[in-house]
Amino acid sequence: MLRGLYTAASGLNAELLEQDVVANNIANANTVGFKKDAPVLEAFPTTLVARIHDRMDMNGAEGPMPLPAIVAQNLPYRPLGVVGQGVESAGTATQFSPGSLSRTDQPFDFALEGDGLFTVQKADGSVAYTRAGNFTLNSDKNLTTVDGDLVMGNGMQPIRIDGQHVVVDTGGMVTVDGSNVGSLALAKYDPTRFSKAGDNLYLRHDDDFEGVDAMAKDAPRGVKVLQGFTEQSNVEVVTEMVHMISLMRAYEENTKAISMQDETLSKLITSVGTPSA
Amino acid sequence: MMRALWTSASGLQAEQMKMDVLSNNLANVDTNGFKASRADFEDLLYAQLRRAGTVDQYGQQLPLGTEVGAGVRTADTLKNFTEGTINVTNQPLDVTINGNGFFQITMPDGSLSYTRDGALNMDGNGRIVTADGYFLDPPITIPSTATGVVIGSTGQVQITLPSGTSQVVGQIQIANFVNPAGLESVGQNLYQATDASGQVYVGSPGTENLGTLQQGALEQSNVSVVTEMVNMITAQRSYESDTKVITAADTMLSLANNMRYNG
Repeated sequence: MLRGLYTAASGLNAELLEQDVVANNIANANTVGFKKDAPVLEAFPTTLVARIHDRMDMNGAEGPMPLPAIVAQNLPYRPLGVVGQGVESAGTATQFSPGSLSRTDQPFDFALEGDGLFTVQKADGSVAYTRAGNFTLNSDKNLTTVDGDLVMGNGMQPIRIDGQHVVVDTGGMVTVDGSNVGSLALAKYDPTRFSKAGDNLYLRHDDDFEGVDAMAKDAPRGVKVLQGFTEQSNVEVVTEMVHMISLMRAYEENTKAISMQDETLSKLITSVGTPSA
Repeated sequence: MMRALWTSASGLQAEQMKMDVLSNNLANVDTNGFKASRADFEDLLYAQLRRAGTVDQYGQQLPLGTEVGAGVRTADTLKNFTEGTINVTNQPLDVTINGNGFFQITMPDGSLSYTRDGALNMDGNGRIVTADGYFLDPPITIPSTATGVVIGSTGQVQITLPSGTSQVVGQIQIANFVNPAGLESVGQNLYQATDASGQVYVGSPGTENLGTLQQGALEQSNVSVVTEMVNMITAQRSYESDTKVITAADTMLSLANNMRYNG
């Protein structure tokens, strides 16, 4: 079939994925601490096209020969040029730009400045990370996320808050009625090591990580904890809408490209060779 | 079908929930002791189409993964227990808790409920009741001979007798919880304890971490109309953008259905 059909179809697939990502960003425009994803597209590897019936040394008269074999035998050939094969997704890049801060004056609302993440422990003991600092207390007076995951302090200990006046400084140190009860364990976000897991959580997936404790001893450089604020989603609806318009038009153009090639094939099959009246 | 359709539908549902919560806040802007709630959202699961850090067919480690999220959901509606503004009414049985705590109320079935609404009254037998007629716990009765009632900041209820002498007739006890945000709202300005609210502790006002009482004043709701209006704008506009995404996804599907040449 026509090569272009598949090229245009690869465009359609890529734009569908883009649309899915944009839809998720817009759906999460009001999610605390949400970081938007940007789809990244890349061209498929291009193909060098050469005339295989037209080898420059016709003395051997071996007939058609595949281009790799011609290249392997170091025979001269006549290149026609490079043909693109369409587009594919190269991944989605989570954009860690800061969201706007909303002042809530709630003692258990925290926002982070910089590329930091709070460390939490799920009920099964596994460790996860979150940017959503809208915390609460559980019935054991431990600081938890709204899903009940324990917020970890340094040394992977939960933060127990038994008192009235809770003050958290910008380094994450938690003071309850004047006594220090631990520091929030913060991790530094790294796009190659963290993936999103839903429920506002991120998971680490590198095996060579030397343990959470090592990271949790000190707040990562440039990360600040702000008490009494929540960080809003960093989704900019205008940007997403413009992105959506451009990807939708690109999608439309690809469907047109397919229509035209379909039409060409139709003409070829139904008209060529038909005796004229 | 396209993920985007369902993703945006989840956005519509979440924004609707946000509207429901904030409309209840606004409806209760004049309710005594009402505490505003806010809807907190969470993203849904991600389809990990390709994980960052894996190695491709050329031996190249991929710096980016492909994650496509499935939308959003409401994680919780968090009650904000900051104090509302105090409205001085000079009614002897209007009582405000300055600080932490709830009045303990005995329900008709004998269970306990808790309220911040201190608009108290007397029933026909002189017992102190809420506006709905539920008794305070422990119960306090004001004799019909009393000419005045004084409620002290520590909860002591004194009456003045016609002879001019005063007499203590009871002690108002208030209750608090480790995690008041875990209380269940049951309407009628009442809350009930849950496992999440934790152990209740009961005491006289002003002791431990409990607030003190103020007679002749009522606590208004802590709803901030400006905040709710801003929340309403963001909810409505986000809802609108979700519908635009659905329209766009629908158009794309329509284009896909019509790209075959009909010749």
